[in-house]
Amino acid sequence: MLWFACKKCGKVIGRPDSSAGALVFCDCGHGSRVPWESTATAPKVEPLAQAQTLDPIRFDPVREPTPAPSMERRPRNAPIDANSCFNHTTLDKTGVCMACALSFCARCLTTFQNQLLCTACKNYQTRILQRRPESSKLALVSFLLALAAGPIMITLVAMTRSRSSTNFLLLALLPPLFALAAGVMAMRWINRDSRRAGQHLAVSGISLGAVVGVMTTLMLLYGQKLWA
Amino acid sequence: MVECRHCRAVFETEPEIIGARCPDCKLPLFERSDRPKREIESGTCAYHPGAAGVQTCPRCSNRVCANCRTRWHDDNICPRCVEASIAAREPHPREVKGRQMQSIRGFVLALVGGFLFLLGMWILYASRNDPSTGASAWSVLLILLGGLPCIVALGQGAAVILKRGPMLRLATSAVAIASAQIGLTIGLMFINFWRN
Repeated sequence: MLWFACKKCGKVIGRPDSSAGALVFCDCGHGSRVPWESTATAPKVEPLAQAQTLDPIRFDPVREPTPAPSMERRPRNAPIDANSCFNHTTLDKTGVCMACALSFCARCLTTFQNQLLCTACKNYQTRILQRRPESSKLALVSFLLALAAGPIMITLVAMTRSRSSTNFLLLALLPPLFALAAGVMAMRWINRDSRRAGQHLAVSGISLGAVVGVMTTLMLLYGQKLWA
Repeated sequence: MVECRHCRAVFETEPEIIGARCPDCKLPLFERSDRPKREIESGTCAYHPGAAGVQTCPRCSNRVCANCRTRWHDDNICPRCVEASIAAREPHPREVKGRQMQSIRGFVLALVGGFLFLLGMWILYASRNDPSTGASAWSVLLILLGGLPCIVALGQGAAVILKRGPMLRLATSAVAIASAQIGLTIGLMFINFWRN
């Protein structure tokens, strides 16, 4: 070991002989080259205090869970015995799954939403509950009808202009009215059933239907003056 | 169409009608029993005394066995916590993320519609001394075009507000901007018709 002192803080640093000439950094941050020979005396190493001898730790005897009786799983093609568990043929049945009506032992049955269910039926029910809600088709129809109402109104306005009669323009009120009605019905159905989605489409359909309806009404009331 | 992975029977009815088990062999249709066990068994299940616990429920910290462990909202919890979650009407994380995207989408669309409206109004104002047909037509087109993204923004924002989704302020801002733009457009049309 090569021992040398830091020129900044004076701390004695030791490095192996193979690192002679290398640049090393003291804890204070000052960099020093390891000399080829020790330039400081090695610090005294105090002997370690003798460790206390302790008595070995003794644990209370572990209570292992009572070993279950033979839990052999039922072979795939084995006949179904109504008096034994469907999964474990060596165990007697404790109850019947309320969904699949098969017999199971106590370990295979769980109470879920006030029903005694087996694992597969319980997982199946939770999967059904987490399904993505279905988008309401009526909401989509409402939005598309409202979108089409605008061009229909413009076409009818052009046709009405040539006929000099605004009664023909009453037809242009039908698509927005249908879009409004479809949107309102879709909103009611969506609010009633939590597994239905599409509120944004229904609201957009209602809004667009209302706007086109208002514009058509304005054209009806003031259209003749415009192209008179 | 569903095929049973155990007996290879094929059923053309919907999975919701068939149920969790194959009508022929009675084995689970949608669960794999051939996967090797990866969990470490320690402790006993809180709901099945004597059954080894394989996981701790992250919500109630009870130890549960493999039969009790239930996949719910991208997490494995105990059946009691699933029931509590259903009773509290907790939204699915996928639904929360969808509502967030709706809020952002609605706000962006409302801004786009508002920008088109303001652009149309600016062209109309700039060309007031030079009533050329071209500028007026462009301004009317821009104002009407701006209404379409605002209608969609109204729907997106209203859906988030009705479901009390996340980013409610953003959704409310989208609804406010969109409603203002639509209201101004209708008002301008009404004033134009009335004056003429």
